Amino acid sequence: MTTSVKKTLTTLTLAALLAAPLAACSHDDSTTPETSPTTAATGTSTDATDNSTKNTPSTAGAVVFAAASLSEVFPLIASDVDYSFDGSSGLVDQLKGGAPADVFASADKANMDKAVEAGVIDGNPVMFATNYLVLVTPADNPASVTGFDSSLDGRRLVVCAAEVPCGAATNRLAEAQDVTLKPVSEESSVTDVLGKVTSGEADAGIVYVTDATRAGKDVTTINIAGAQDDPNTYWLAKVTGAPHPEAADAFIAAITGPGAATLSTFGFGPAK
Amino acid sequence: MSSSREDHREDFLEISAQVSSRHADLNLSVARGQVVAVVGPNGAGKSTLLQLVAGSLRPTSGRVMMLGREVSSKSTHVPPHKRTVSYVEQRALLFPHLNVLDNVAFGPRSRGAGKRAARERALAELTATGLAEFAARKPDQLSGGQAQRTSIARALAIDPDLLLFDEPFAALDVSVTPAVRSLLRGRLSGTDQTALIVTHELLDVVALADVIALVEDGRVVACGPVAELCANPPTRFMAEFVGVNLLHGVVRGAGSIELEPGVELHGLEPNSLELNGPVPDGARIGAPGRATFGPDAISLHTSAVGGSPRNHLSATITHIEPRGAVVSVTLECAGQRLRAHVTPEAVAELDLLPGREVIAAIKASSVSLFAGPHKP
Amino acid sequence: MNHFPRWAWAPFAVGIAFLAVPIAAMFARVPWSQLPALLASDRSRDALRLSLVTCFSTTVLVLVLGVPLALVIARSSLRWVRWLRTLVTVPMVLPPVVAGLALLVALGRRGLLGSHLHAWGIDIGFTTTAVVIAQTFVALPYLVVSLEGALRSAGARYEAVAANLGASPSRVFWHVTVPIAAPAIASGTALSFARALGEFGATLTFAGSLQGTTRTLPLEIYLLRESDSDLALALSVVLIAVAIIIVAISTKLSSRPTSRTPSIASDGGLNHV
Repeated sequence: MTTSVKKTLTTLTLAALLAAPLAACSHDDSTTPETSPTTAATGTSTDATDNSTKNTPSTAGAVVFAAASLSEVFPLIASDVDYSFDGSSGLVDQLKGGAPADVFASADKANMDKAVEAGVIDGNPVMFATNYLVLVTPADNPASVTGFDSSLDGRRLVVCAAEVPCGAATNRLAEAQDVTLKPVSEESSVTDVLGKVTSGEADAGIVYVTDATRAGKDVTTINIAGAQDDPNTYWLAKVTGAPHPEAADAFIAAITGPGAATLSTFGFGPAK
Repeated sequence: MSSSREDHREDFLEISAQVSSRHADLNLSVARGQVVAVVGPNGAGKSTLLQLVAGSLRPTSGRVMMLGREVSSKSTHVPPHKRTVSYVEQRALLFPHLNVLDNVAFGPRSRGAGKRAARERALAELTATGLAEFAARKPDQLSGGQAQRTSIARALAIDPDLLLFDEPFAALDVSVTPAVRSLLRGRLSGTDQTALIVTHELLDVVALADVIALVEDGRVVACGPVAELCANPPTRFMAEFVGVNLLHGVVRGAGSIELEPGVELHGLEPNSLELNGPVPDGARIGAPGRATFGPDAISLHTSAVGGSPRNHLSATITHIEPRGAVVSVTLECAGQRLRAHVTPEAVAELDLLPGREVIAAIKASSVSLFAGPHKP
Repeated sequence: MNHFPRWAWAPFAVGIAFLAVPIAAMFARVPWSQLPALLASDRSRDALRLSLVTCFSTTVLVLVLGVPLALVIARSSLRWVRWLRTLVTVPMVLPPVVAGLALLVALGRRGLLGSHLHAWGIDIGFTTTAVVIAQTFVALPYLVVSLEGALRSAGARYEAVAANLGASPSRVFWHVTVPIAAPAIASGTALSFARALGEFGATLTFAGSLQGTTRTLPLEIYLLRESDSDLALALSVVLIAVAIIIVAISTKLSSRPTSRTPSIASDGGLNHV
């Protein structure tokens, strides 16, 4: 009897010990010293010129956590990079949890601020693109929606939930335009909104212009007056304790420099 | 067959059906009030016979008729729940979610009786069965014997035209079986109740049945009164089945029957319950009785002897047959046939030959007496 | 004697820890003092109410459809019925999002059936009905599979007895089959309810997410983890609590005395008359 009790205690202790480091690993700031003297601690775009004086460092091997809306454009700018695309706040959670990454690209300022507050950002973040909201309908616009107005009444409108960046932006826009939106669904990601429109399930949806561009012929895009006055800003920053700091710097340089052209073909606006 | 009975009783149940998947071609007529013991080797088709009558099996050709009405054939089939035929098998299969009373009341309820009327009927049946005190119990609180008796009460509560039993005592303890058998005998004899009983036990046949239907290889190979088939087993199976001596006579008193005028056979009533059915005591005398005893209970003597055996019957040897270690001597006594097993040495010593007259001494303690089933 | 080797205790402990530690960790992180305030918010109450209402509706639907379905699969002698057993298992192994897509393709506005419904003015997407449909689709197999197994192994002997006693097939169903199968029905239903309660992917894809209409508890938690993790934790604990209650009720129901095989009565074993 006693031997089996002992065994149980031993294994329970083992299990507890295993669990302990996982519990401890939350808000720790890993204080690994910088291995490279070149830091991406710049808030301006002189970075690009600085780096071009050296042998152009490779972006190869950088681990980049980026917002989902960048999933098509980023790989075109730097292809030899390890990408992880997700909702911005999900990425912040992962970084807080200690996930190893070199660069963080956020789809809004709020999440980048959260990351800075959590101490996972090394240096100052830099804005590299903007985005604004548009109205999309299925290609044939069966509900004859004409814009951000009463043509939406009684229609099946799908938007992002307020908890996600595009949702917050939608609400701000509606307030600014003095329009009351009555969506039938508030999705957790822009991709879901777009999906419901392209499948014909929704009559209209509010997404980013970049999403509309991506959907191409599957949707009809309608501009929203005043949307461009309050764009979403995209921010880029190096992560504290980046395992590949040089690649990280190179990546940031690539996006803010030559990458800007590619970004604009996808519908992203320039950094303001 | 039972064509010797009065014509109007013949048509109670008529089976003339084939089931090709079971290689069965069964033909049987049963008159009202008859209790038929269905015997035969395993897999012979006894259960098939019962299932055809119950309605759970459809014949591939032929038909089953009850009370002159066609209940089963290739074209028509009256489903089991529309027939008033009860089926009791070795498993009691009492509904586990109902107590004993509601189990017995289930049949009447299903046939349209109101809740109270059904329960009253159930209670009456349970009382007649001696189970009234268990009415509130759940099936898992009953012993095997109590459960099987409840099952029988449940089957009787619907006042069935026909009762079917498929080895009803097979799952019971040997010590319990006599009581349950006696219950059944009480409910069958002296009534108009028609029944078919599949059994492997000679005791069941002896205590309960008038007629034996012998089923072998999917066919009813013989059908006739119990005594006849037991005395003259038509097949090897039957002979082995009987294996014991079976004599019939008239009850003359406690512990004896008269085989023929002047010839009395003394024996034991193995379990007083066997004879103490619902029949009042006085009526036993003069009623038909039966006696069974094994071939080993007979010792043969060439002259009168004393000693403890109470029975000394004159008998004539009809044939002698060696059977391995013993010799089977067939005797005629009081107009009936007996078989005795003796050693080969005894045969030689006594110079036993067919035709010789001998005294058959039978220990009364080896003879079991039964009141045979009788008809009104 | 326990009839298992001593060394089984070790993996047992690890297994228990594996399952229990994450749940315990959640309970440890919940801001218990703020729980009442957190749960009193409109969105919490809406999500909880919606989850309970849809899950109960789903459970009723699952019972009405699942019991006869299980019965026919278990007892019918038709050959193709066996394939139905396989078909019924499919929603169980589908990733929920795929299940949602399947429903969309069938019942969405441009779906196989949905387009016809749309022509008659019926649109299922984005409604609470869609939530119930999504939940039923993923939860129904749980009842059917567990009940069908139980029915098949129980056989139909009691039903045969009942028929002999004069009970019509309907009467046999209500008064014999269902009461005897009740424990299996109870545990199967509890599994279905629990599955419906936790259903997320199919609901999100097919029904959408709107507070009070389609945003059930799991959807709410998913949304909140982005912005208010305290509330997300609080709601998760509520979900776990509801699940525990349902499983406890089911365990109680499926261990009723009627579930014990009446060993003595049917086998005629040791007895005294």
